Amino acid sequence: MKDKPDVSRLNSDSRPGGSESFILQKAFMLAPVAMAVAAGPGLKLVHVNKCFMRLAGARRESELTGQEAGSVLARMFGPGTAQRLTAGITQPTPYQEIEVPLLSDGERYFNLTAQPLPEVSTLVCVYEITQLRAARMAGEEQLQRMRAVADVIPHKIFVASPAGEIRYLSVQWEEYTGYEVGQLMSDTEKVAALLHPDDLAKARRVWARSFRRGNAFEMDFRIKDVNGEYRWHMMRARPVGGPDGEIDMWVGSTTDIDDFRRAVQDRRELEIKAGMLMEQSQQLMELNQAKDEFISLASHQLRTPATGVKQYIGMLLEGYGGDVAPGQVELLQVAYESNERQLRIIDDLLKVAHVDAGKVALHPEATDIGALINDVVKEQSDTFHKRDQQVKFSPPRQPLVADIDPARVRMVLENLIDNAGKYSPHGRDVSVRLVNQLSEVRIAIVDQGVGIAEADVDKLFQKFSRVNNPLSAEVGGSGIGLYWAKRIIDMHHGTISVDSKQGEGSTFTINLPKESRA
Amino acid sequence: MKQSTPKTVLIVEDEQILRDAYRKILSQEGFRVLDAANGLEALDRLREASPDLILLDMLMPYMDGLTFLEQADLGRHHPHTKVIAFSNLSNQQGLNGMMQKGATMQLLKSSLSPRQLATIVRDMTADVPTGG
Repeated sequence: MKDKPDVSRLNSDSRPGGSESFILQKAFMLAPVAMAVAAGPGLKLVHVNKCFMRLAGARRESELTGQEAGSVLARMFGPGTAQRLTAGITQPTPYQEIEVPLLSDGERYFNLTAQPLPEVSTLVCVYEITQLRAARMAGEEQLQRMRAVADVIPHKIFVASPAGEIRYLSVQWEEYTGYEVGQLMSDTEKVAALLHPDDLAKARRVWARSFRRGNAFEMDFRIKDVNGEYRWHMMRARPVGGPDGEIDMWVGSTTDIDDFRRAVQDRRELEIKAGMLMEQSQQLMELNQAKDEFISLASHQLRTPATGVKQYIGMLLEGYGGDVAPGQVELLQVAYESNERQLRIIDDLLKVAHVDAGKVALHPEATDIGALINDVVKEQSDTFHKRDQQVKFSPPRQPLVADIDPARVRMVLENLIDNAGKYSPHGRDVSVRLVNQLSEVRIAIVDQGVGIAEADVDKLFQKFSRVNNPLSAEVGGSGIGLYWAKRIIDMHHGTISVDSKQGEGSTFTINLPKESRA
Repeated sequence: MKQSTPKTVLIVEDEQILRDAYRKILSQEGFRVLDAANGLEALDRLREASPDLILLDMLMPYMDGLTFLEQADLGRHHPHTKVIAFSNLSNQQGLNGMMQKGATMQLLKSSLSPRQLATIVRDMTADVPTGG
C-alpha cells in the first residue's frame, strides 16, 4: 500500500511515518469494519483493510488489489448483491445493501455501503449486523406470537401510539365490524362512525383526556356490528412505558359485554318482578285474612239476631205466646225451619273461618270411638226416624280407643251421618262400620242414597262446592261441611275419602291414627 | 208442672233480645228469674240470691263467663248452684275452660227450641235425692 499512488488521495501528507497520514493509514488498516477503496473505470480495488481481507479470505493485500470490486464482492456476497452495489457505486449518492448473508458463512449478515469519495474512488464499507438482525428477528417473532394470541382471544385488541393513533387492530375487529383492519386503521372517522351516536361524545372525551394525561381508562359504549346492530362493549386501555419511562404505546382490549349487560338487566327486572309478586302475595294474604275476619265477624253478628228469631218463633210455636191457629202454626213452622237452616249456615261459615285462620287447635284425648259413634247415632235417631230411616251400628265388644279431639271428630261424624240420611230417599237405612286396623281406626258411613257423579267426587271436599243431585235443593247445604270435615281429619293426620255410585249410594271412609301426632 | 217452691234461675247474657226471650220462657215455666248483662252484674246478683241454676253466656263485655266462674267460686259460696255454659260453637276452647271451672253442662245457644231449653232447665233443677 505504501507505493500506491491512490493512497495519497486519502490525505495531502502521505509520507510513511508522516504523522497524520500514517495514523490514518493505520486506522484504515485496523478499523473493525471491512473497508475497501475502488478506483478507476473498472472499479478496481486499490486498498483493502485487514478486516476486509479476513472476510474475503485473503492473506495478503495483493491477493485483492487490482481485482474488480464487483467480482470480489460477488465471491463474498453473491453476484446479485455485487451487481446492485457496483451499479449503485456509479451513483453520486451513497448506496446501501442491507442484511446480506456472507456466502462463506450463511449465518453472518452484513450491511454494505458504497460511498463515493472525491474524484474517482469509492469507499466500500461492510458492517456485520448478525447480532442486530438476530435481535430484530426475535422481536418480530415475539410480535407475531403476540398477534397470534391477540387474534385468538375473544376480545378486540388494539395498540395505539402515545398520541392515540391506532397502530394495530386484532382480526376480531374485522370479524365484528366487517371492515378490513387496514381500512379502520387508516380512517379514524370510520372507527368513530361505528360507535353509537349517544356514546360517541363521551368516548371521544375519555379517549382524549386519558391520552393527554397518560392515565389508564375503562369505559362502556356500543359498537355497531357487521349486521348494523349495536352491542355493548367495555374498553380497557393502559399506557405501556418504554425503557426510558416515557409512554411507548397504548394497549387496549374491547370486550363484548352485551349478553352480560342483558343478563344483569334481566336479573334486575326479575328481582323487581319478584318483589312485586311478594308484595302482591302479601296483599293477597292480608286480603285473605281480612276476608276470614270478615266472615267470622259477620257470622258472629248474624248469629245473635238469628238465634233471637229462633227463640221468638219457637215461643209462638210452643205456646209461650198463647194459642196459635193451626194455619198459623204451619207458617211459623216454615219460618222456624228456615231460621234453623240459616243458623246452620252461619255455624258452618264460622267453623270454616276458624279453621282457615288457623284458630282451631286440637285437644286430643284417648277416646272410645265406638261409644262416640253410638252417641251420635242415638242423638240423630229421632231425625232418622222421621224419614223412616235407621242408622245401623254395632259397637265392637272391646273398646276401640284412639287419641282424637272428641268434640271435633264428633262434629265430623254428625255431619257425615246427617248427610248420609239427608241424601238418601226415605226408608233407606244408613250403616256405620268401625274397623280396627293396625295403627288406625277406620270408620265407614255407608248409605244407599243418590250417590255422587264421578266428575263431582274431586270437588266434594272443596270449599263452597255444591254438587247437584236429586236431593241437593231439598237439603240446601252450605257446601262447606265436607271441607271443614276434611280439614279436621287432616289435622289429625288422618284421611277421608268417598266411594260412590250414582243412584246406588256412597261410602265415606275416615282413617284416624290411634296415636295422636297432632 | 208448676213447682211448689219456685226454683231460681240466673240468666247471664249480654244480648238483651235473648235475655228477654229466656226470661219469658222460664218465667212462664214457673221459675223465679234473675238476670245480668255480664259477669260483673252476675256477681252482684249472687250477693242478693243463691240461684239453683245459672245460664251463663261466655263472651260478654266487662267480664266474661270464665272470669265470672273464677271470681264467683261457686263451689265454696254456692255449692248447690249448677251452671249451664251457654254459648256458640266457635268458643270450643272457652267451653272446655268453663267445664274445668265448674260448669255442669255445656249447651249450644242456637241448638235449642224454647221447650227444649225449659226441659233441660227443669231437669237440672229438679229435686233429686242425693246420689241420684
